Amino acid sequence: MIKVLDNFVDKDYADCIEKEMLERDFKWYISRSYFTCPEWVTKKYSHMKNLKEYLLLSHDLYNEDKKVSDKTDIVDNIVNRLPNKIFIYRAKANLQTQFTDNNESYHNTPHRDLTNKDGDFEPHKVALYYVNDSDGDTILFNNKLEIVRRIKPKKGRLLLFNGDMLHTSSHPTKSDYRMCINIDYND
Amino acid sequence: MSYQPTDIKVFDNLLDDKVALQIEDDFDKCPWNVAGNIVSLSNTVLEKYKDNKNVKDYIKFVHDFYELENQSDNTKIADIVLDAFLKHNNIKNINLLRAKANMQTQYTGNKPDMHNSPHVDFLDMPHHVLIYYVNDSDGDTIFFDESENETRRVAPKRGRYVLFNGNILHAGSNPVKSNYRIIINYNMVIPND
Repeated sequence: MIKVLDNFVDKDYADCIEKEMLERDFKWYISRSYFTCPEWVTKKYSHMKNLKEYLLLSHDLYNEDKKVSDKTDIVDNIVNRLPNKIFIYRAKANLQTQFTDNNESYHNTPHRDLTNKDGDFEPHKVALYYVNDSDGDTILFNNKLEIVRRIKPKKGRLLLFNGDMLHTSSHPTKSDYRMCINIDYND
Repeated sequence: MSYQPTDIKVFDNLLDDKVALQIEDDFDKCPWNVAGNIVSLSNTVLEKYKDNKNVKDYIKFVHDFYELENQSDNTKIADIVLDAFLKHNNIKNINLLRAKANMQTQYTGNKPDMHNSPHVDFLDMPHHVLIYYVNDSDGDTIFFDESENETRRVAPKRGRYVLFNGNILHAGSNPVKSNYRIIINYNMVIPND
């Protein structure tokens, strides 16, 4: 199941979300120990010639269905439009910038968002909301690491897919920033 | 102590290496926000340099330690760094106007001769600027004379400070190689300047 829903929220609200995430009181954190994935995951895919990790800024919104931010209205307004009641394992906002020798072929480490302590997949679904118009595709892979689909970020677009699909993001090459909201859930 | 208006002074090794490393580590817990106007410069400045091929301003991330009446939960970082500087220079008291951290990232096609728009931090108030480099990175701080000719470059280095008169035109640059470039920027009035 891969679904792309455009204009998932109306234009005014989409603008409002982007503005809110650029405001002074929206807090972003960096992790210097790893960027989009822990090192052991990145190593697993080190044979991929287009794999290039770079800095990720993030803001945690939900953890185990509990709000961990005062900005969760953004997530609530998205999940309220999904048909069934939802348990949110994790929701966070991501911001990615350009990097020096980036080009359209580079992407970050393929991964699944949720695994248990043994590294096994935890069943869930992914909703990815694109906050701004930008380049930096989301790439979905099959288990042979072949690209199944590329989704271009577009303000107001929601991408839905099953959490067992390997996927990754790309940093923008032209847009100043690429912001999205990543929701791992079950319905 | 007094400075000539054109003085630009670099200080290394005022902080113990372990302390400097800890300060860099502490930024993992320090929240950033996207700078005002995205790049943290006024439209007047941006307009002035828009046709200059060596000038590019890119999204900047800011952490305000002391800004107007507000202060962050992380002021200890800024205090340790400033106190070490003041103690070394035997400066007893200052009037701190603002203290913030800036983080700059890479951008596509960046080159070492590119830099941000030259500016002064506060136009109408005599002050000094103290920059502290949090991490080893590329992305020089560049100084200019009144005719906007480059006069000096200071390379970031963990633990390095540069102090200069606030009336000197200066610009930062985004890193080409390093993943990020973090500095702490203090604006202050030193009595008996």
